[in-house]
Amino acid sequence: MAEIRCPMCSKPNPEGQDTCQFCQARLTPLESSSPAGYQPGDEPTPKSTSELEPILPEWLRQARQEGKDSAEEFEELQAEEKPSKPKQTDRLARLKLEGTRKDNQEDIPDWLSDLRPEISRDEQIEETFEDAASANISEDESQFPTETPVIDGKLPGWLSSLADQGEEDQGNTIKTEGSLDWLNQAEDTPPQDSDQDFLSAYSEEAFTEETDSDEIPVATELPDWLGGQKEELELEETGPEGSTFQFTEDQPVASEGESSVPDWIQGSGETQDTPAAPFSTGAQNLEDFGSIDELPDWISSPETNLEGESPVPGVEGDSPAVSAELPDWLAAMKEEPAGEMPSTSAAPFQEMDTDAAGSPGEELPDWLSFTQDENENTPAPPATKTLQEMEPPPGPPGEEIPDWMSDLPVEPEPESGTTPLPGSEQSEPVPPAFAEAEPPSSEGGSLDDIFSVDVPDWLTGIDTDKQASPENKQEAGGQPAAEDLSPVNLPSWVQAMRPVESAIPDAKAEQAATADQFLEKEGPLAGLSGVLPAAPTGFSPSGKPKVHSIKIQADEGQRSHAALLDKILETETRPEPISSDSIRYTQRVLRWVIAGVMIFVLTIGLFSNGKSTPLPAIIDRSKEDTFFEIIDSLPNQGSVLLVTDYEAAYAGELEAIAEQVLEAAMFLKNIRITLISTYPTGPALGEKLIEKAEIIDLRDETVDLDYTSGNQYVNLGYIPGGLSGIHSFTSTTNMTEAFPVTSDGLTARETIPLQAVHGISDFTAIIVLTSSSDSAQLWIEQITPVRSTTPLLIIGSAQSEPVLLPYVNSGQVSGMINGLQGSSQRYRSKFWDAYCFGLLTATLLIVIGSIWNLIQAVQDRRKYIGVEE
Amino acid sequence: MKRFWPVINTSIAAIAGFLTLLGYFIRNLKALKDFIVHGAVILAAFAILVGIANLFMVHLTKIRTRQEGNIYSFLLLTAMIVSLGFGLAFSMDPSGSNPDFMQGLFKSVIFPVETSLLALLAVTLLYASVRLLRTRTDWMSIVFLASAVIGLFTMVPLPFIGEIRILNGLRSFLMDYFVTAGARGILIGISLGVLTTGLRVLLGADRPFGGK
Amino acid sequence: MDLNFLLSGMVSFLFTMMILSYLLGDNVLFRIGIYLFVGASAGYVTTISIQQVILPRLITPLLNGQNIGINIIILLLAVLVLMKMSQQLSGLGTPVMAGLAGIGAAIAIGGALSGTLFPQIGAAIRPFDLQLPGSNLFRGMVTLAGTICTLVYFQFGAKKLPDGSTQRSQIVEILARIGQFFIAVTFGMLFAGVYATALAALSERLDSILAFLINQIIFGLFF
Repeated sequence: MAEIRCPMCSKPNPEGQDTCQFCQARLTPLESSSPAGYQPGDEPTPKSTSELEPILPEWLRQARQEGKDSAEEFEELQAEEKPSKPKQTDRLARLKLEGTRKDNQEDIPDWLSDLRPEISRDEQIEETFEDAASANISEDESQFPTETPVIDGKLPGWLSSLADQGEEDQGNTIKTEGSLDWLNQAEDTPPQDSDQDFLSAYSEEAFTEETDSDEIPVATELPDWLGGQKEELELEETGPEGSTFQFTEDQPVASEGESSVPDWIQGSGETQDTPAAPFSTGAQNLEDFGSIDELPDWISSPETNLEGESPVPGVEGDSPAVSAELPDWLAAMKEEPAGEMPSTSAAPFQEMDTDAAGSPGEELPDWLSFTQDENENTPAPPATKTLQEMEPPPGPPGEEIPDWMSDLPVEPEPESGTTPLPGSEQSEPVPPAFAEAEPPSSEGGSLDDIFSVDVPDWLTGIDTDKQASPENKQEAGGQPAAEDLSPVNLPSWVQAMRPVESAIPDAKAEQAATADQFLEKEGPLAGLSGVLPAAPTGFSPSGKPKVHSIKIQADEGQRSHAALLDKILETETRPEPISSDSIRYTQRVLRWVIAGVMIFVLTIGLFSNGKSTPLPAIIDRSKEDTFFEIIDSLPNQGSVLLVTDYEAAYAGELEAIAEQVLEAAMFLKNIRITLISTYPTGPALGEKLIEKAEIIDLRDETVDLDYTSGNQYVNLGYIPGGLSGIHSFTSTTNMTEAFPVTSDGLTARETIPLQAVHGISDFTAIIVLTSSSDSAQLWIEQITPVRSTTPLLIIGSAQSEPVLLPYVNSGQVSGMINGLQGSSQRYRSKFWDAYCFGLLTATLLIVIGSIWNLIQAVQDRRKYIGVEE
Repeated sequence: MKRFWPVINTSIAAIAGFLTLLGYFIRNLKALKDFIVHGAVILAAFAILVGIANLFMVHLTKIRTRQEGNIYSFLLLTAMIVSLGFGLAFSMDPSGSNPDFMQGLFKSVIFPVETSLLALLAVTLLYASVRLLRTRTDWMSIVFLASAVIGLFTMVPLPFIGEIRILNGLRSFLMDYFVTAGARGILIGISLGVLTTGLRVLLGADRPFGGK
Repeated sequence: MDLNFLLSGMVSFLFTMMILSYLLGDNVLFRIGIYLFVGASAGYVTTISIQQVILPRLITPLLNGQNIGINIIILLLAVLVLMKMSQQLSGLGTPVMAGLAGIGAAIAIGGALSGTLFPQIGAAIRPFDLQLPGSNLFRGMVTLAGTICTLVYFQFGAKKLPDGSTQRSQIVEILARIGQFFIAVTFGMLFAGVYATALAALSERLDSILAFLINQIIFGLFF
């Protein structure tokens, strides 16, 4: 099954697919209707210009038609005008010329520029055509006819067009009238230069946009060198092989119907008065041109090496005989390397319209063959023997080059059949623009639409119905293609202009010969040399990545080390058994035992009712003594601030201490109590304390002091904010305003305890009940700066005693009692025995247990050390 | 604007703090300081409400998402709602607060539970002290235990025996010399720490108020 | 017997037993008792805060027209504090919390300086004043040395050795060791006090349990 290579990834795809199955790129162009694909690097397929006629843009077709219609006007104008430069007969050629001129004024065909290297292009053109128009080129002086040969009273079409063109062109007009002085002048210049100038001037004239496109210039007369030769000129059907005659942008398109062969081609050396108008749109038959015998010797000489040489006179010419007879510029052109021959001058002579030869089916020269469809076979006029010796260019059979062209040195066909990139500096001759192997089409009617009536017959074979290739459309200035354009039917000259190495005729050979050169064969850079090679063969961006082995390559030594490391780690990571439940059970049992012992001891102590243990009497109790002294020194009905900053958990201990103190103070001094707390449960604890304290159990009776809120005591409630609340309370100077309402809803200033109290210093004593040293510390810090002489007493739990001792030593706290032992100096609590029994039991348990565990720990350590050893 | 919020918050903290500090020393600013502190006390009460609300939402989410222990969360929320509802209802009594419910709640639930939790400590602390030398055997542990034993043993008179003078003197010596010194050093250290932390807050080095 | 007292006693006894059951191990009763306690405490605290702070100090004066300007400002700030409940609006309450933090820090600084730092330094020096009664040079020296050594123990600045380890200077190490001894003795005494407190609480609880049981048994036996 045939395969199609993807232009992007170069992978084979089955025929018939539109998109690549690997990279999803299109395999075939969207507008392609031709089964043959166009790939970079392919040989240019010679096309007949007439076949490409249908693909011409609309404006071009109109120009051709208008050219025909106005051919007569052009002739008249041309007769009146001064020798002017030949008109352009082909609008497409004019545009090409203009484009080339814009790109690079210096970029004239090499074969032409070599003729006159020291003269600028414009100057060359002007000189050439001006001289040609005004001077007669004698046979001796120049082999170029000085006058445009007049045929039937008219200039050859292709010459007359150039003559008309000269009127509009300002800078690059070519004088077409009269003499071909330009040809005479060419003697003074290197043949190549002059020839190139001549040709480039024509080509510029042909393609300038300033020319009247509607008028297809018609040469009134052909130059001598073009006249009288047409009968004998025959174009080969296929024309020069390859790009021996490739029509570049600089080259004018040969006019249709040009029938007179210049003398230099004829070889007669006759001069003519007609202006040099090598290119004319007038329909000229090939018969107008002289026979082969009349061709210049340099053209008709069999020694002329037309193989691979440009048909342009002077482009190629290795034969000494040819060189002797050929003008210098032509001989020099022969010496140019093959492959890049503009062969502009040969353009009108190659593949001339078969009408010029009188036979239908004649094909256009290569430079005109772009308008032909490749499917059309247009017979070309028989070529001269020199041209016959040329390798016929590929193309539809039947195309022949005229005889007068056969002697022209033919540029060897480039291997790739492409022309160099436009604008590139070329030391070698530029290949002709139209690598048209097919002779002009025999269907001259279509070609008439483009060219004027004076177009040589050999140009009339252009088929206007033929499609033009997209490349042609692009070269024509990006005009949209016709509806029936076939993108793939590129004219050979366009194909030759592909960006491949074939621009240099031997480039491919050189590259092949050069081992270091790398010719890219696939991808977007196909055909280019000297590029960095793409990914290695077989690389596919869309392919799956290579699978690499992830196994570590290790030798025996490394493996053994790794195994050793695994062993070491295995012992470290080996899970150890979790401690058995027996240990946990033992611990739980120990806890149960301790709890049971303690509960038992405490229960016994509770049942003893606190009479088994004597009260402490010998211990130094300075701070407690001070405390009680202060309580004893309280004035009657004095206001005492009672701060209940302890939690409910400590209520048992603290209430046991405070209850007895308050009982004595309340009973004996009838003190007024103000309750406040920074704990949310503080007010409730204070209330509870008051309830307990007001009931005094005396020996014989129980006294209820009946402390009521608002009278004997007031509860200011809860102060939030911790330290901020304490500071707010201690720093206030109006207590009733800061605390307008009591906890039970009474108005503070209406209560008895707060009537004489405005600030904290107005209290007779401040008693702070606290369970933690932190709370006591905050109160001490905030009260110290403002209390003045008011004593600060602390009733704290046993745990707060060590931390609060410094405050007692510093004098910040007047007196302090902590725990049940603190109050036991005066008061016996019902918990005293239980408390004492519990403390003693705990002490014993701690001592015994610590000794036991210490011994166990030492033994374990010795065992661990023994194991390590 | 988002970028300036931390600067604004820190500036507010610094300004409020410095005004309060200046109120300590400048008599004219004392009234301003009192006003600021008074407002802070009331705002602290609202902060407590925010904390309670957060507790409510946490447990409510636990119930809604049926997490493990959501039954306990249900009991918690039930107790909260009941105590809050009855407490506020009674507090709105224009004739005066009816403390029976709140006192009953306190006496029957809060007080016994808290006291019982502290009572558990008597057993656990004893158990831990018995096993101390098993888990950590060093000189400081021994010194610690010895001091604790002496403190416990000398705190109260011996049953049926009474006080022992030597033991009382030992306790007084330890308390007056070693405990006082150690406690003083700890208090000074705490004060220095409070001083440093307060200055860091005022100067913006620390942001305990949250935010980015 | 008062029903309220009986009911209160029973509930108290029940909760006490539920919590003390932890001595046997973690169990469901203990957890139920704890969670009910937390809920009740939360509701209790909320009620106290509203009843004793917000209503009498803010709402009532505002309604009575007392210090309207100040109270409105405080009310607005309070609303911003309540925004902390919402995750989206919590940013609005951050400035107020920042103010509270700043005020608290300032008060703490003042209290630490005037309430602890200066008095304690003075107390450490006073024993050396022989003119004052109760001065004791030896006691002063020991307490002063102990105080200094305790402070040095909390000094953790050290030099980095070439091998990468850090070590304090020799004299600092010696003083820290002495201070550590003082701290150990202090904490020992502290532990004794804590245990004594816990023991007192246990005694109180046992007393309440016994009282309830005895009263109920007697009441049940005889009534």
